[in-house]
Amino acid sequence: MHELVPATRSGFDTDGALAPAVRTARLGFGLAGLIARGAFVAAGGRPGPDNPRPRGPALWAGAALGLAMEAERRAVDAAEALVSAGSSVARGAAGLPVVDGQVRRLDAWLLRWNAHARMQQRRNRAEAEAVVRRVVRQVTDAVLEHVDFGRVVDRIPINEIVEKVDVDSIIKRIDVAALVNGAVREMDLGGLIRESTEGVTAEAVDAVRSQTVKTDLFVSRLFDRVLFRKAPRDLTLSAPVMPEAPEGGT
Amino acid sequence: MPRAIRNARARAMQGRRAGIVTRLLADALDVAVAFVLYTGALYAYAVLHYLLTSKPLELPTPDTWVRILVAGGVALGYLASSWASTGRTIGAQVFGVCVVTEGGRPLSTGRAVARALLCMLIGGPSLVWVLVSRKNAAIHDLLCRTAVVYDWRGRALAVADAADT
Repeated sequence: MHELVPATRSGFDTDGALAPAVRTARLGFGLAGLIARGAFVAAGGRPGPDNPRPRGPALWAGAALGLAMEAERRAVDAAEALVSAGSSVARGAAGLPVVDGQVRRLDAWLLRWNAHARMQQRRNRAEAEAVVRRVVRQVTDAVLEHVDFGRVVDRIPINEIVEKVDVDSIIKRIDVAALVNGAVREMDLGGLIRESTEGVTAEAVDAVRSQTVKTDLFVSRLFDRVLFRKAPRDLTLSAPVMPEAPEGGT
Repeated sequence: MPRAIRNARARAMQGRRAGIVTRLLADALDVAVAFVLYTGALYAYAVLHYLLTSKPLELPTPDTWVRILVAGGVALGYLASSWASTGRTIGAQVFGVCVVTEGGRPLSTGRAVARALLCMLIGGPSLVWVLVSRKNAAIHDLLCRTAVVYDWRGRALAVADAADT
C-alpha cells in the first residue's frame, strides 16, 4: 500500500540544504491545523479524539491536507535533486584553474567585506545600545515624573492589609531575647554609659576648676589693689611648661 | 586625645602659676587624703597586731609624739612621692594643678622631700604669702624654687619630658 506521508518525512529530522524550507512548511501545516481546530471550537464545536473515518467537510479537509503534504514532499525531493546536481556541476567547475582563481579572488573579496561589515556592525551595536539606554532612562524619568506616588500610596488599602497580618504569630517567630542581646552587644551599652558618665563628671570637674581660676584671679586683683600695685602679676615661669594651646584645644 | 577646655580664661591660664584659692582647696583635699592614709595605717597596724598576737582587734592609741611621727611620715611619703613622680597629689589632680620647678621641670626626689617637709612645718602661714607674692609663690616655693601651675590636662610634665628627649 502506498503511504501518503512516509515515516522519514514525519518530523523535523530532515537535513540538507532545504531543511529550513521543510521545517517552515511543517510549521505551516501545524499552524493551519491549530487554526482550523480553533475555528471549529469558536463556531461552537466540541473537539474530540481523531476519528479514523470522518465524514463530510472533515473528510474533505483531511484529504486536502494529505495532498498538500505529498505535494510538499515531492517538491522538496525535486528541489534537493536539483541542488545536488547543481553542487556537483559547481564542484567540477571549481576544479578548473581559470574558475579556481576567480573563486579565490571572489572568496577574498567576500571575506574582506565581511570583516568590514562586522567591524561596522560592532560600532553600530554599541551606538544602538547607548541610544537604547538613553531612551529607556528618559522614558523611565518621564513616566516617573507623571506618576502621582502619593495617590498610588493613598489607593493602597494599608489598614486592610495590616488587619490581615497576624502580628502575634510574627512576634512569636521572632527571638526577641536574642535580638535585644545582639542589639545591646552591638551598642556596647556599658561603654556608652561609661563614656557619658565620664563626660558628665569631667564637665562638672572643669566647671569647678573654672570657678576656682576665676576666684584666684579675683583675689589676686583684690590684694594687688590693697597693696597699690598697678602692674599685673607675673604668672609665667622662666620657661613655658606647655606650648600655646590652639582655640578650643588644650 | 584630651578634651578641649571650653572656658577661654581657664584655657589661657594653663601653664601659669595658680592662685591662692585653688591651692588652698587642693591642699585641704590633700590633708583629708593624708588623714585617710594615717587612719588606714592605724587599721593596718591593728590588723597585723591582731594576726600576730591573737589579741582583740582594736585601734592602737599611741602616744602623741608617736601619732605626730606616724602622721608626719605618712604625709611626707604621700606628698614627696606624688610630687617626685607625677607632680600631682590627689588634691592637685582634682583641682587641675601641678608642681614643677621654676624652669618647668619635674621635681627631683630631694627637692620633693624638702618641699614636703616645709609644707608640713610651715604649710599654712607659708601659703598666705601667695596673696602678696607677685608670682603667686608661697614661702616653701621660694625656698625650694618650685611653682604650682594650672595644668588641667596633665601636659606640663609631658612637655618637659618631651623637651628632655
